[in-house]
Amino acid sequence: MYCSCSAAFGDPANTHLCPVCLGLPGSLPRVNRHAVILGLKAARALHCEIPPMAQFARKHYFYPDLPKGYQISMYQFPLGTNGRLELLTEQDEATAPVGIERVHIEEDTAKLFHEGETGSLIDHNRSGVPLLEIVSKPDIKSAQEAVRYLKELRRLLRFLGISTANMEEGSYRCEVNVSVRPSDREQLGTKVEVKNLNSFRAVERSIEYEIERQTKVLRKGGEVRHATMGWDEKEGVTVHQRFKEKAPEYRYFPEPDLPELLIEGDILDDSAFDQENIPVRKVRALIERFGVPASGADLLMSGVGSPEENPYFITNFLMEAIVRHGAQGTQAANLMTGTVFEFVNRTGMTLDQTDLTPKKLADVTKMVGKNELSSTNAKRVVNVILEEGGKVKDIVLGEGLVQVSVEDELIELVKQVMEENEGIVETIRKGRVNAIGALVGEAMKKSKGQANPKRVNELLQEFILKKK
Amino acid sequence: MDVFNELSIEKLASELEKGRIHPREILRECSKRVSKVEPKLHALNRETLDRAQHAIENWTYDSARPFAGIPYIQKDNICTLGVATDCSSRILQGFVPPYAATVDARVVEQGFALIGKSNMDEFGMGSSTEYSAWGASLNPFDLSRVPGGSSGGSAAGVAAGYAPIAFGTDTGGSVRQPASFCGLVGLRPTYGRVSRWGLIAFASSLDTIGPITTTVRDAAHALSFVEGQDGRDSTVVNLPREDYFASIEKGIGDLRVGVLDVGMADWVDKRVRTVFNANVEWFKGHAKSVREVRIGCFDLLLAAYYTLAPSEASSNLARYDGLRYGPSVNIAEKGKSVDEATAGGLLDYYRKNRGQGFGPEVTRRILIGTFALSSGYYDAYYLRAQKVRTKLRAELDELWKNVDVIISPTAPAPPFKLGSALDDPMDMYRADLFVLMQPMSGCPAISVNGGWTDLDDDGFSKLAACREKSCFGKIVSRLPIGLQITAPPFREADLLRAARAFEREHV
Amino acid sequence: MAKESKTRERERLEITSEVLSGVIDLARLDPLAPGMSLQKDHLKKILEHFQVLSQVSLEGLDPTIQVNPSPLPFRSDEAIDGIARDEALSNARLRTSEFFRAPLILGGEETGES
Repeated sequence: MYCSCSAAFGDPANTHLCPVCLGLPGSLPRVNRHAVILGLKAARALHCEIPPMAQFARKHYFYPDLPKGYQISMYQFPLGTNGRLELLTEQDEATAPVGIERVHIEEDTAKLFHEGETGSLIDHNRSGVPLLEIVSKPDIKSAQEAVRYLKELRRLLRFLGISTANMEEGSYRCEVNVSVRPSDREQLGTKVEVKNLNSFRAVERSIEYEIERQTKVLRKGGEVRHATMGWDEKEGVTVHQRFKEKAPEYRYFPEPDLPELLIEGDILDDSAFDQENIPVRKVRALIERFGVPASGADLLMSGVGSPEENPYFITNFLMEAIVRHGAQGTQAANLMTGTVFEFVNRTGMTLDQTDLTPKKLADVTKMVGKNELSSTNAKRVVNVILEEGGKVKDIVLGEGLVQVSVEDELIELVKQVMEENEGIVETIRKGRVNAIGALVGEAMKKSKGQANPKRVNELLQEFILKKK
Repeated sequence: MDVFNELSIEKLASELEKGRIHPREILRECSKRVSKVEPKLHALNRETLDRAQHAIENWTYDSARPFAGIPYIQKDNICTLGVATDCSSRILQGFVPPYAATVDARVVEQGFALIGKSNMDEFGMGSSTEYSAWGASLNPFDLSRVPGGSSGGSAAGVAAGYAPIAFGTDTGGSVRQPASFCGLVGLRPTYGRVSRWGLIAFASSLDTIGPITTTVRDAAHALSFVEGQDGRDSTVVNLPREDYFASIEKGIGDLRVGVLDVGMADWVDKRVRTVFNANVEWFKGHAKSVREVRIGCFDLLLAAYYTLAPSEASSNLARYDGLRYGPSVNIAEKGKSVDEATAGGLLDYYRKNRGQGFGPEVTRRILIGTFALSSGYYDAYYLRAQKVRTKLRAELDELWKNVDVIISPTAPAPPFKLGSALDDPMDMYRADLFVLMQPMSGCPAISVNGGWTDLDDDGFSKLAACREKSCFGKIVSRLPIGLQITAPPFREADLLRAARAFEREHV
Repeated sequence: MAKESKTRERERLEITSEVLSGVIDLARLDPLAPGMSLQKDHLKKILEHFQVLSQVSLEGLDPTIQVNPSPLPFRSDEAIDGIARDEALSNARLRTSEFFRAPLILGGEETGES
């Protein structure tokens, strides 16, 4: 954030050091412009009020992972306040957004490894790496909503290229504040802070645990004490770290080594983007305007099968197929969530590494629409393009997948089948209508799968049942 | 003229250019003085004469670097690459910076040769150099008195002829006051003119680096080659390059001078008043106009400065926890193994290191500052002190409409006796009354020798002849009294011009 | 009314021994160091002296946050090599060949932020 050391993850300890991030006497901070831009982008994507000026501030506390004895953060004048994160329900329906209290940027601490009996080891590689802090308002009312919030936020941050936001790698960290109050009370209850949450599951479980624990305390007539708890994943409980009777004394004051950050001009320009383009809005557009089934939308935005897990890649692809090349929305979406995803999951490849293009996808769905290709064979064609490559028409012809839909040919086929299976025809006429299936099967066998089974069925019904 | 009697970088550069002397001779003479006088004076924390020797090894005169080969002293709170820098504090004992301060790098680039790191009040906190963990430096004019602080070692070293130039740092007068106490020129540049990268921070919004020299022109040279953007200090202001020498000899016929009126009757020593009055008379005879000026919030400056500076200091000194630099085993418990000394755990480790590593004045200021920044007190102390700055700035902006420079004594008394201001901390703070206005407003200021005390009047304990010859060619057995000139922000050209005009007729 | 609030303000700003002990703790200085009680006395006097700041009207004044009105300069997002590990470790007394070390956190120490 304030020095030019590499932020690379996983290198040998203490190999990315400089006077600034090591906090050497005489060192001074120098702000990374890109971090500011990304922070502002996040604030704007979260619909925050963007102030004309932000200010860095020193936050003091003593700990071995904090070289200067203070962290250069932001306090009174963050990058944005009073915003919201738009959410969808599990059913991908619009729901109330979660308010965002503030967004600001700051520097990460060094990393401590506890050595057991002898103390700790300190690795400063991570010291000074830019951090984006996003604080939600107390709007979240359930553990599930909290997880949905975290997932949508992650999706947004990944989409905007702000962060890889990976909880397991430590690039997405969260702390939860939980309070409980009787339903008839306006004022919020005393909040308890829960740390050491390393997965969405931990977030969900810990919130549920705390809600239950605090409810029990209150029901017994007790008082919930303000405290910091750690989540114990193994035992499934929150454990006291400290009682915090008063707020910690950070001695915040404006950072004298850094002038004010005026949010104007090219800082604003470079952090601008199209608000309509954010993932949650894209999902809704896919569902409402392009007929993409709700269950598929979330999967399409997940980043699976995309280069660099770009959550927008697959949907871009799909949209291009639909909008530019006339693909049928539901079909195209189903082919993506079905065949394409099955392929990428199996092979580990990304879609851009295959021969499938939006036009080809559109061509396939158009053939199905014209009854030139059955749905089953559509999947097969797409699979071949993915596995081996090739042109749609070539594959359809080459593998003999052209669906016979020409009426005369079908009538001919049906008549033949009826002639060869008189016995079954009799049973059908006598009432066993289900047996038509067997005749359809015969027709398919005879046509080597190229007949349009739907039409065959219709014709059989017409000839057998209606002809009298 | 014996150039070694009036050491000046300009004069030495001229002799070097003419081939009349060699850096080796300069260094030899300076080394002689160091060996003779340093055991008494204690101006240096460490000598780097070998290093200096090495630096001048392959010297030839180069007009692009006219000062190459000339010795200099660096204050021990400015990071010198590979040379220990400890701010005269136990808590930084043995710290060897792996990087150079911008100012030092630029001085080295000019070819100057470092002869030593100077003693100082610990972390810059003090006005006498008595708060050094390594013992006080003494005033070359009278070894029973202080050389001023916190850059006392730098001033004493130059006054004793170790080198023609030293750098110091000025947060609350720490370049100007010791310069005044040692009869030298001390310049505090405008805040934001010189990079603080590598200056071990005391108070970030008040710290500056400035030269201590024997002449005004030397100070102008020094400023010219250390100032300016370096891409590391975010508070350095982008300014076009100025040539101070275009105007430095111009005289002050067009200058409007303000004389600081602070009701000096009570608390200013009468000898200082005598000298200052004579100085004012001189300006009346040479400047365009002279008038009295008042600073309405002058009485608040002491409280405001001594709230603000300790606040920032308490923050800047929070990094001294013994984990990354400095002696990290309990200092008094030498001989213990690392495991034994850390057996008390982290909190004990912090307390012992910081408790024993910081001297009494630093401890005091950390306490003041920690208090003033705590919620509940922040508004009443820190915030109000910052508002006083705004008030001062506004008042000065009004004054600058009518005057180009403001003059005052540098210190309210001549150099005081060792130990005389240690009982009540407020006594030491009051020594700074004239030099706080500039840090609190960002203005530049310079101290030049304004005059001397009278011999009989003063009751000298002994003559302090530190050199074989007399100081500056004159018999000196008196104490120096400094004249301070203050200018608006970024107006060093006027400052230097006024100082030079005065110096020309007084030295 | 004004007199009452001035009294309350004075009480609030009173510098008690408890307050001073809190400050010593916050600054991680040694409460048991010799001379600490003298420091407390000095401190009380100094801070009381500085209450002159509260007695002046500073109405309508903004605090000086920045000395010069210069813009915040930026740095490009490029990695540059810094100090070698050995050099950085050489100033530390507690260390291994790769890490800086810290003593064990026993009870009573803050567990990280706050």
